[in-house]
Amino acid sequence: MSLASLANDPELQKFVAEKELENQLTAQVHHLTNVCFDKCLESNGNLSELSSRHTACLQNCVDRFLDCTTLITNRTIQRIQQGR
Amino acid sequence: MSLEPGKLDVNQRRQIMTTVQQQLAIQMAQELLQKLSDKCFKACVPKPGGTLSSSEQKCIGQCSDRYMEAWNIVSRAYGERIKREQHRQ
Repeated sequence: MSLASLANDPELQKFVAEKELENQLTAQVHHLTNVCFDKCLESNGNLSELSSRHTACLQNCVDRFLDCTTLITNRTIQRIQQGR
Repeated sequence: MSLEPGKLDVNQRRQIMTTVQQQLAIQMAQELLQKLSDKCFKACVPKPGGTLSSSEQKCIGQCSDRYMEAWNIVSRAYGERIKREQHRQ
């Protein structure tokens, strides 16, 4: 097996591209959990179960964080387009 | 062993894919363990003593369970958000 055969294999390339995408998505989940655990559970790991309030908080946290990212992205693009 | 020179045969390809898959799984598990330790040490062991007390151990156990549950909730919410965004386009 040469490196050339690895690089030229289209099926392998497709596989690697898919895995990279999966990796990015999973990394995002790790990051969101990291942020939202702190926000919603207030470093109170000493819980015997997650209440429906905790669940709702986590779900909202994910959506609001992504809204925040979208807002910032759009604003940044605007600034670049306006040449500031 | 190859069918064509410079090309991978089916078994070689499968072997590489399996190895890559395993490596990624190990990487993800390590990252999860790191996050769990950070979070739960911070939450449960404010003042490290000579050993982990039984209450600290119980806290750490519960903390890691809750974190895993939170991970699943976040993963689901994230997946649903992506689906919603795709339908909007």
